[in-house]
Amino acid sequence: MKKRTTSHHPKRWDTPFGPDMSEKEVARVLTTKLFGGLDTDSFPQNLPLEKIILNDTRLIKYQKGDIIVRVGDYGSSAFLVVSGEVGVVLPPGLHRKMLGHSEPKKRSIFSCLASCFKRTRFPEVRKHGKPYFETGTGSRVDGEATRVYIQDVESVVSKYTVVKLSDGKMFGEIAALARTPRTATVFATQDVELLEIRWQALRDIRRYDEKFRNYVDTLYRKRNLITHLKNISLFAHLDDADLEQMAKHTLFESYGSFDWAAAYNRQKAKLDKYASIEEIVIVSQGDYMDGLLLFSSGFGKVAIQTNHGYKSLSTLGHKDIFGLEEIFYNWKYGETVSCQAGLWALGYADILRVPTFIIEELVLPKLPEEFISQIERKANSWVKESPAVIVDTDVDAGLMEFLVYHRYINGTQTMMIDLDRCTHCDECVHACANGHNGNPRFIRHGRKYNNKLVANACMHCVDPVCLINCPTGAIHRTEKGGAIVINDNTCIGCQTCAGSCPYDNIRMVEIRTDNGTVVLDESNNKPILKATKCNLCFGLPGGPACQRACPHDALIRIEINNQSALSEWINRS
Amino acid sequence: MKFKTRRIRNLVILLFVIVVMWWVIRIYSGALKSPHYLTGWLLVALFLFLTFYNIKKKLSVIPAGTNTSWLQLHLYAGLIMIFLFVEHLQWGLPRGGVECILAVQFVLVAGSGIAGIYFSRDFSRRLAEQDEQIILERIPQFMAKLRLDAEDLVLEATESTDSSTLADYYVACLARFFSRPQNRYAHLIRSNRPLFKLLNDLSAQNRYMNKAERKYTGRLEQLIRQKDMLDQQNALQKTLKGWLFIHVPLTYSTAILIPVHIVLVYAFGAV
Repeated sequence: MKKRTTSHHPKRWDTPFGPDMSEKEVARVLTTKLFGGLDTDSFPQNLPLEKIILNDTRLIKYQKGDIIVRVGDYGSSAFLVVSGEVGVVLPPGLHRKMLGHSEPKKRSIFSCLASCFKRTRFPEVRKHGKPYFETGTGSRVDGEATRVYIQDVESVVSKYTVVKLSDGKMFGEIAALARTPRTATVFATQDVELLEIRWQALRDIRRYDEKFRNYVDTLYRKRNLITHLKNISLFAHLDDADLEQMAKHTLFESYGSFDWAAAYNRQKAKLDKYASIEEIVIVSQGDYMDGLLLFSSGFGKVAIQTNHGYKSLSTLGHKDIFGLEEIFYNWKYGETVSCQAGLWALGYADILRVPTFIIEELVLPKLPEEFISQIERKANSWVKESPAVIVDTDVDAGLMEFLVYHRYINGTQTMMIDLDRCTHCDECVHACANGHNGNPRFIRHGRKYNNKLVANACMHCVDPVCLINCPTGAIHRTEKGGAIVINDNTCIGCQTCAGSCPYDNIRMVEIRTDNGTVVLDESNNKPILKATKCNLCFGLPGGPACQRACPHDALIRIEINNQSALSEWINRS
Repeated sequence: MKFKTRRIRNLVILLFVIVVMWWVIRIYSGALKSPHYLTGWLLVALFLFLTFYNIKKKLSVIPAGTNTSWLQLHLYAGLIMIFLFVEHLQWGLPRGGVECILAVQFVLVAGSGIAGIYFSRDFSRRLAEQDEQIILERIPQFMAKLRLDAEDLVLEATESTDSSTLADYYVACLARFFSRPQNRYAHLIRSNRPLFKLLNDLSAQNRYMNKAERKYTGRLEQLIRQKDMLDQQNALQKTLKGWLFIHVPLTYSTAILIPVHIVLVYAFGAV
């Protein structure tokens, strides 16, 4: 008889955020202005506020000058100033180099030409072994963490517009809850103690404490919502008063988990067997459409019931809307048609729900005529025939499911290879190597579906989880083009980004000197590592060399959510 | 743009260019001028253009159009060159030693180019039909692993069944198959005959095996199929890379003979 294997069932707080948090620290946090004002009775018994603070927050000390968050970074936690003071640098903000980011440099034709002939004898040769920071900043190791600090705090405070936040003030909550880039750089203007609150705690406190919810929602409405609504073409004709009215009634909803990448990584071993992975229902087919759903961040999947399963029709992302057809149809014809397709959150999705009555009163009556006829045509087909008639983009249904299932929908520059045309000539790899000092930054290998292969190359994701928790800001999004790049000079080889990438597209490499010797860390004699990945030929004129180098039209860098482009590329033959 | 649309557009342009050239050559001849000089120099110009494609491929980081566009130009310019070559020979055979060598070389370069484009289109599709895409350089490792797996299996069968039928058959027939890439030409012409022969021979051995031994033949058959798949990948991928080792060196050797031909023509008026 086989021996039974038993194991402890994993629980939410098996690994607390801050292992050093104690009951005493929790009591201290509860005396702060923000937490002291929370209603502990509103929390359920199995999720008390004290436990949330104990397990989902941690106290961190920063020294004067330490950079806490950088503008443009992604993060999944907010900070509360417990003691001391921090400075928020308002736009235009610190110079990119001070933040550890690389300076965009356009390479000349001659430099490109030279790179085709210049060959280093060894891979991954670097001029500088140790990370180095630009004038004005430095780095120090604090326990297991690396801190980048501003050397002359007084000069920065006098030179830039800096708003100071002291005890009891919170920052970073919107970026953490809405998964948007940080809007400002924050640094310690004096020695400071902060409470770092991870997004799970923010979500739960917001859910159970009305005061906190109102505080966060008011902040979000004030800072982001109106701008977000203004950017949606459907609302372009509305005036400020209408938009304010709409913002007042809009509800915020979160589905799934911000940590989708971690869950995906855990399940990765099963993925090739098409095991079921977590997808959360936002709207079921047949539900009443009580509001128009706007995607604020994350991804969704539109699917219709097909026999005993659901067939994916399309994916939705930032700024996409769902439910307009049903709302329009009911408004126009006085019907009560229910939702014709279901909507699922893939990993996580942040949704803004604009109530149906607001759409009916403010938006639809004022829509321009050309918009009305367009929506009417679509709504009639959507309701009377099937949603499949409209969203069918000629992308093979199996391929669509494959791209959704493996979360390739996250990619804005996914490398897809048409195997029917790929001759394995490796011109793409050579071109990549030529552009990167002899070191190719991708592997012409990956998962395939029929004759399409998604290669192991950085996809420059919409939701770049690799950017979260980089201690030096070395990995960042470029201002122009939005590519995710790594500043080799400020990368300390901590492997955080490589470990976070759900697609295994970041490689850690041992760096060498010109004569091929591996550079060793003087403190422990271990090789110095650097994170490397495709940087979309950042700085090279003409865009990614891999795509231009393919002689057989086999390789493309494509945004998977751009289904018309995808459909056109797939159906070329 | 769909491939079909692109092909039709390019063929129409090709036809137009050929008709114009044919017409110009006829006018030139009608004016009692020798068309050899015209077609000859056009051939030299086109030859230089075609050779430049190889250089362009190596300078892929330079923003001078995509390699796809360059390959299309290379293909259709190559077809124009074939027309000009035939016109240059006045639809006859070359005379003299140098001309004969040059003509043979041209035919080989053009022929290898046409074969190359056929391989590129057909073999790529055949490789895509495989479940797995294997990088050429990794094939020897996979082959070595398969050989070890097969040997282990046969040893295990011998030890556990106290019979050597499978081992004898392995040594006699399969050891060679697993030791190196096999049946290259059969794979190129889509023939499964060698695989069927091996599998039939293996199943024929069943009559000499006891029940315990027969259990191992199924697993051995699986390994044979995997090895055959690797052989196919190896044959197709090597041919996809290998044809260039004929096309490119012959191009350079032709590049050496062309100036010799020009000097001879101008020195001795060999028209």
